[in-house]
Amino acid sequence: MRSTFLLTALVAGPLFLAAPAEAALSPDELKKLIETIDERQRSTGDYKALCYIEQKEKDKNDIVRELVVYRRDADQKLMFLFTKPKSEEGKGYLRIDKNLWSYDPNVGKWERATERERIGGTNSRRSDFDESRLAIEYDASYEGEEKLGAFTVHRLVLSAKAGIDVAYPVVKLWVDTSTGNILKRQELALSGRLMRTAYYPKWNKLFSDSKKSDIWFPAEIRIYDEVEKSNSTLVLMKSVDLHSLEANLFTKAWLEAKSR
Amino acid sequence: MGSIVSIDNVVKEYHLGKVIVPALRGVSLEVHEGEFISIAGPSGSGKTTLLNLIGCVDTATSGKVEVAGRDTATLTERQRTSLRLDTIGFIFQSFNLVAVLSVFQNVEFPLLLQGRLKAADRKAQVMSLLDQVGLSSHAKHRPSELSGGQRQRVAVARALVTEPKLVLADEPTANLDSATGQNIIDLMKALNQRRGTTFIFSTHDAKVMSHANAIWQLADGKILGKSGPVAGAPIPAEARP
Amino acid sequence: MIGHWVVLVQIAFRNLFSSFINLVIGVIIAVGTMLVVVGGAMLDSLDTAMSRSITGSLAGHIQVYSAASKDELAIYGGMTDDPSLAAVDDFPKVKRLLLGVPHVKTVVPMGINGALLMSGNTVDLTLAKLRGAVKARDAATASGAPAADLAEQVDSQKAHIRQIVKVLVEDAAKASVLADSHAVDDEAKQALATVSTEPFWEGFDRDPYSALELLENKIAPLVSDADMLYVRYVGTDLDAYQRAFDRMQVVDGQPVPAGRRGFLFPKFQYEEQLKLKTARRLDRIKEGLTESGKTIAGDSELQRFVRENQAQTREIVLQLDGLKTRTALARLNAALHSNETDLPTLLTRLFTTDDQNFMDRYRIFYEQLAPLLELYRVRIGDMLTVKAFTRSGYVQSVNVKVYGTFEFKGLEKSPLSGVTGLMDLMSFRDLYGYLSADKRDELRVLQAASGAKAVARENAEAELFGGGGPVVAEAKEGSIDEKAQLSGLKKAKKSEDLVARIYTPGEIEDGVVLNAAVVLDDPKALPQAIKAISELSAKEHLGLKVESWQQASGLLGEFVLAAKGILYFAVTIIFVVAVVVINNAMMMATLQRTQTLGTMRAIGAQRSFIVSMVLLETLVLGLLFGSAGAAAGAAVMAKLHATGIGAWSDAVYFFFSGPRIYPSLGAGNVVAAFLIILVVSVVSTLYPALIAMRVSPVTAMQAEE
Repeated sequence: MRSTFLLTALVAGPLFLAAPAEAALSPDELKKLIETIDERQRSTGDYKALCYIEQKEKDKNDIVRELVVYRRDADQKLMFLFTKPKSEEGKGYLRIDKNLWSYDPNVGKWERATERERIGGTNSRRSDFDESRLAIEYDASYEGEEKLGAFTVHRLVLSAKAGIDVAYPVVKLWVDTSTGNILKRQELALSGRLMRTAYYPKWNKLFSDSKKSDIWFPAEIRIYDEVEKSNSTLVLMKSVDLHSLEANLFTKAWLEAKSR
Repeated sequence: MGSIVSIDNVVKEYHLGKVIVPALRGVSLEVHEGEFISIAGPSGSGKTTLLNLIGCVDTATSGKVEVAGRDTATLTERQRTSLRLDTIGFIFQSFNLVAVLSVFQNVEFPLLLQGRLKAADRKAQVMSLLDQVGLSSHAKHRPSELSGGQRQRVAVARALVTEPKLVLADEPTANLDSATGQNIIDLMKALNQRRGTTFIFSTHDAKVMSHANAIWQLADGKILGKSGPVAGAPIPAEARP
Repeated sequence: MIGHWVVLVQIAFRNLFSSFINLVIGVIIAVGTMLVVVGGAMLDSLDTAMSRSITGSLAGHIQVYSAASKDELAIYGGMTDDPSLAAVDDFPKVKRLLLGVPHVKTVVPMGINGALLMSGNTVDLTLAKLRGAVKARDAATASGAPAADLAEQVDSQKAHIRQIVKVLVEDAAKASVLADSHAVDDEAKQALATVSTEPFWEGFDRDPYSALELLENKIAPLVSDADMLYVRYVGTDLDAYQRAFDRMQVVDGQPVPAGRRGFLFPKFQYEEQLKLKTARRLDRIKEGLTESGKTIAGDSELQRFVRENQAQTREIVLQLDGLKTRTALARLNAALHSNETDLPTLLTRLFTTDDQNFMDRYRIFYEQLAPLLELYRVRIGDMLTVKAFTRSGYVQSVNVKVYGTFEFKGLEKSPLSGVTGLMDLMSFRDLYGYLSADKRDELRVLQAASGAKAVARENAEAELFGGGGPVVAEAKEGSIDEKAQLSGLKKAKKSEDLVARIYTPGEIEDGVVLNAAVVLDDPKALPQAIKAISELSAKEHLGLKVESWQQASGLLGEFVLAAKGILYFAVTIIFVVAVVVINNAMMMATLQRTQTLGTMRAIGAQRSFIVSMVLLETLVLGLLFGSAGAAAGAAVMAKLHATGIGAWSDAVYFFFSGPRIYPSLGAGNVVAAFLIILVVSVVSTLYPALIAMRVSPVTAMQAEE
């Protein structure tokens, strides 16, 4: 064993040295990078965001919606309430444990959905609006440094940890080397097929009294469907409100009451 | 009396594959109206071929065949058929009656083809001929109900019903016993004498040919000669069966 | 000349019976004619039956739809998804004008759409009932109304859940015995342990919603029998529809009351897809034994049903609460003379069937067990939640009451027509979700306010990151008031109100209609009516596409065409065979008669005479034996008309348009058969006639050896 290792090191060593002088991240640095991404977006108190989603599909009218996203990250609570257009009013999603429930006030029914639920039939997923839990859900590996437009980025590959239910088992990230923000994200199915490409051109930060630091959130996400190539989704976080929410807000009853 | 059949240097060849078989090799003869003529000769001597040419059912390879004054080579198939219908009567070796028709209908058949007479006239004509061949009582019978001699009598009646100028008979007695054959020849002779119809018949039976006015001896596709109407006349060696 | 023909006819007639070959030909002709008469009459009867099934069920005689439609209409569904149709402009006007066209009896508005019905698993459904019961009880209590009945309902549902929990705990125990550690994880085991305790249920009523949440989120996901079902439906003016289409009949329940929203399930689908699977399998085994003459011992499919019933007892076990489980045990033990305490084991014993005991077990199931069960996932009278992607792109759900099931007479067993339900036009429109001008404006305003700009996929990276400008910005905290965002319109629109509401005919007709069925008073007037409607549409600028029911019925129409094609093909084959056989026989007959033919030619018959003679002979043969065959065919048809023919398989059932067809014979069938047989006779004799014509008169001179 030992001799094999030595041999490999002797043979491979010069190759490593010959590789371009990249600022390769050590495993510790990599871990830190991912944790920073999560930490920046974490909100210790309650969190409420007004979002706009626009779905474009070939030969179809644009589908636009506004919704309010409610988060209480400490309890892993998440809820969506659609507010516009009128036909969507009062519809919503509520996450409880591993269950994502969707509600339609027209029929007064709750349905259990999965992690892969297309929010409102768009290319966006629950995870696009929720707190970032990359370090908990995925194992990261470093792939190198490259250019993305005018930016220098780290390219990372994340694979889902065993036993954790995520929408996509493999995620590729392009992280701005200077600011540590995700600029591009690709998600792949287990088969290796590329499913979505998302861009994060605008990151906003907001000071939180309870966190005593900034909370970061992507003000704009552009998602391109890689299966139905003509479909794309734009998510805009129009404003974020960090006031505390009602205690019983993350319940079916609360969402039901909004349309009664 | 005028000539009813005139044959001049007629050659008839059959093609059997690539082999050309000469059946007649330059035959010339003349038959006058009212004659009762026998063509004699052994099998394969060209008797039937000669009758086919005279009967307009076949055409010569070369030479000239005139029947009732018409050059058969110049006629269309249709015209030759009409010539047969109106001018020539046929008597066949195996009678050749239409099995599904009655005696009366068989005799009536040529008249129907002619389409000239009305039904009543046809009936009279047919009955008169059946009477002459002695079969008026068998008019409604089918040919299969008759004996060979009776059938040939019906054939004789059929051949004569259109009152043709010429009757051709190919070995008319070959399928009959000699007494019956004699009967048929007698009938033909009687009709020849009574109506003046020209008869040409082929035979290789010396007794039969003895009734003829004249005998054309045929051998190997050539006329050997014409002998006179002498009963018991010596038969050329070649003509013997 | 007349004599000429007389002899021809005479010869022909006399020849008929003179030759054995003629007799053979005659028999062929007779059989052929009989087949044509019977086949033609059957074909016509089937065509009429199938046509009536289709025109009388959904299609009507004529379908009209917008000429601006992208796809072709396919009433009974096409090869792919349902076609995309544009809406008819101003249906009331179209209807008024079309009713003025001669022979038009009714015009029924329609629209075809499809939706996925999602249903949670057994636990989800039971918990939803429990939640509903709790809510109703609490509301009654709060308003001071008597709530004893409602409390009882809550208790009953609670008992059911407790029984399910008990089954799940047993499952978990079995799984751990099998060392199947993946089946139930620790968290689930813990949750199961919690809800199995007495204190949990004692405390239930103190905080029912928390308890429900635990059950809904921890327990329900453990069961994986959730189902979804594709439902295709025709939205229509149900009153007008029921009056105009006589083939539709309600099987269970009742028609949708006049002016109401409502849904009728197709019986075929209701049985095939909504019935308790075990019960459906029992039905199919019984059908196999009694109708198709199969045996369990001899049929692998029936054996599979038996095996599945033995193994899949869970759907029954989960349906029963504690009390019903005990009742079921008692009843089945009595019926099977056993003393079993475990219901799954007892059920497996019940479903262990062979050809001897099956009918008995079938009876036990329906008499003893079925009354304790919900035999159908959706009951008549239930509220059905239909969720569809609307044409505007948004998802829309509608609650619609199931009033009953229906079938189309003659198409009962057709999987094509048997999966199309009937819905009221108002619900259809909600689900179809046409993008109205109002809504378009609303979306435009929303889009403009967002300030979103489009970035094409191809140059997204260059456009978003090419400039290298700052990515990070400081945000100002906003205050979001969801009450201000919501317009509150929702409060006016309650689904219970919609279900109870009665719509006027005007309301029903004035709205989106995708296609309309035109029913005529005389089906024979179809071509004129199509022409008249097309002209009217052009003149009045109605923009309609006008199609006959054959064109409009999609796959089903194509099936009818294909079926006819197959039958015609079979008839054609019979005739080709007949032509060949007759031709051969006539050739033989001709060759046998060369001497006679030669004699006739020698005697002076022209070639034309010979040809006429031979042809006339076959014609006479054809007429004579054809008549005999036609008479035989007519006799067969008379018998079939009296007794009918039973359908021996589902495919035949479709062709027969019912369990039994009583075919009838039309004069046209006989005439057609005669014409066909004469043509066939003559055609098959042409070559023999040619040969006969060519027979040389020389033949006559050749002595018969």
